[in-house]
Amino acid sequence: MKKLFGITLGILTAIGGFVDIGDLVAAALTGARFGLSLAWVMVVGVVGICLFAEMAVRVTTITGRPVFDLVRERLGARAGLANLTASYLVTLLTLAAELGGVALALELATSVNHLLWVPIVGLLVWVVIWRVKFERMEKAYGLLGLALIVFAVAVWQLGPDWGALLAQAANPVPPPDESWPVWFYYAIALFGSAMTPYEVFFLTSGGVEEGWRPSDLRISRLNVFIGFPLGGLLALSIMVAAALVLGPAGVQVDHLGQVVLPVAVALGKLGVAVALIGFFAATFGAALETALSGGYAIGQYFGWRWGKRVAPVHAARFHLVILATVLAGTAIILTTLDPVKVTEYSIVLSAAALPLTYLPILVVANDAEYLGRRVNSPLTNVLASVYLVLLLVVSAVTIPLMIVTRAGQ
Amino acid sequence: MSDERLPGSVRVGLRLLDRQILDRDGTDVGKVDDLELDCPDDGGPPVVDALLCGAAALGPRLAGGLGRWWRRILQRVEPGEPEPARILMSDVAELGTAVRLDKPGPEVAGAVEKWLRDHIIAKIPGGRS
Repeated sequence: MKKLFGITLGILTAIGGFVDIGDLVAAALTGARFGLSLAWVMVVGVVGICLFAEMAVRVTTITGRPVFDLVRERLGARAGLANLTASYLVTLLTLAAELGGVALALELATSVNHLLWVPIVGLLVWVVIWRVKFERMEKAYGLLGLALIVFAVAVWQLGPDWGALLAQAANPVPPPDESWPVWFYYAIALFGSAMTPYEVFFLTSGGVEEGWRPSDLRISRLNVFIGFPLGGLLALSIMVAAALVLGPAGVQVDHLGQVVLPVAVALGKLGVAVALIGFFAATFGAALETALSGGYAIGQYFGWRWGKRVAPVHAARFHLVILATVLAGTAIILTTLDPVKVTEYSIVLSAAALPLTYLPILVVANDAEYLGRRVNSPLTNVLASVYLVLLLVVSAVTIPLMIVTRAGQ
Repeated sequence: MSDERLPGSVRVGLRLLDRQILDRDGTDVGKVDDLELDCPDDGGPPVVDALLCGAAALGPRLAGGLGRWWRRILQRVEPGEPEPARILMSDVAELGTAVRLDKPGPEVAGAVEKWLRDHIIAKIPGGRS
């Protein structure tokens, strides 16, 4: 039981990365539109984030230095600032979308328009960050988010033809009525959302908040190797559920309300209630994760005292940045921008900035000054190099693809 | 750098610049934003005199338009000639994955933090615990 609680940081991080508002919609949308022909991207994404997050937590557990420290140190003041600007903006957009997502989940439960919920949600997010202890926050939202397992139960209840599903997943080409560029655009969106940089900012900073020491290396790796695959599995079951129910019905997903339909079909009202709890926890957890990550990245770039392990008065600049970030996120979503669209764009834009975060991690994970004998194994380096090439290709083609496909229209 | 705990020579770009500075108690002080070098008269290699820390040290390193913009903002916040915090090399206890000092961090390095704490954060309920 203690083990289970030891990995809630990994679970919360992965839920923020894999089943936040953007992914909930993206997974359902791609499932409904492309069947399982994009399921392989989930696998590629989970392997990629596990690979780099493991390096990052290894560096953090052994040296106590979180990821943005490494970014500043290896990229220097200028390129580090460019990365900070890009990462912060993406994280802010994602936070805005999550605030909208929580509000949408509340709208589904109460039928009160989501815009009325947005300021209340923004305030709640800030109060939790201001007052609630890090470990308590992480356990509550990490474990509640697991309610999304209801999608896996729904898939099982629907009793699909597993052979046909596997055949679909093993045939990675777009369906006859869809074009290759659009298919690739959504592949990049899924990949980008799996590898969003704030996941490693949050996971490693959270490790410092929890006081990970070199002797905690095993548990910190378990956080990575259980958390992220679990997040990927939740996202995959949403995709499969959508492919089974929404695809054949011809539903075009553009709202959170449609994501929950397969659960309603398979499990009825009770299932929907559990799914809504899962939506709320996952989006609220992701809002906490992104708001904190904004503060972590800025605080670590400038070398301020940061974190929730000290009272706010001892980390004044850090808490001021978070307060400003939450206010800005709330303001963005109150302009009535569609939360789902905001995340879609933020995910794709973050795909363009990925190498700037992952290259420094790879370099430091090979530095014996930091890690001694715990530097990367040759196999890890080969795999990581392949992924780095992939990240570079993705970051180069993202914006052109976005223009060519008119953002996947 | 006469202290035997520190290396005699160091690649400052790789091992010193942009590293985190921690004080005696492990509290974050700031980054090594810039360095003060002393060139000996006998033509020997330059010696690191002090670590410079704070926005006033970081600005000039951001060359070009970004650097100018940075200095303009700084002028508004802190009129006059802003001075970075100077940390003497003799106060450095250890150069590792972070730079550790053997005394508390300099006052200047915490000036903005202190102002924001006293005027904003400490006034919000719950900020002190």
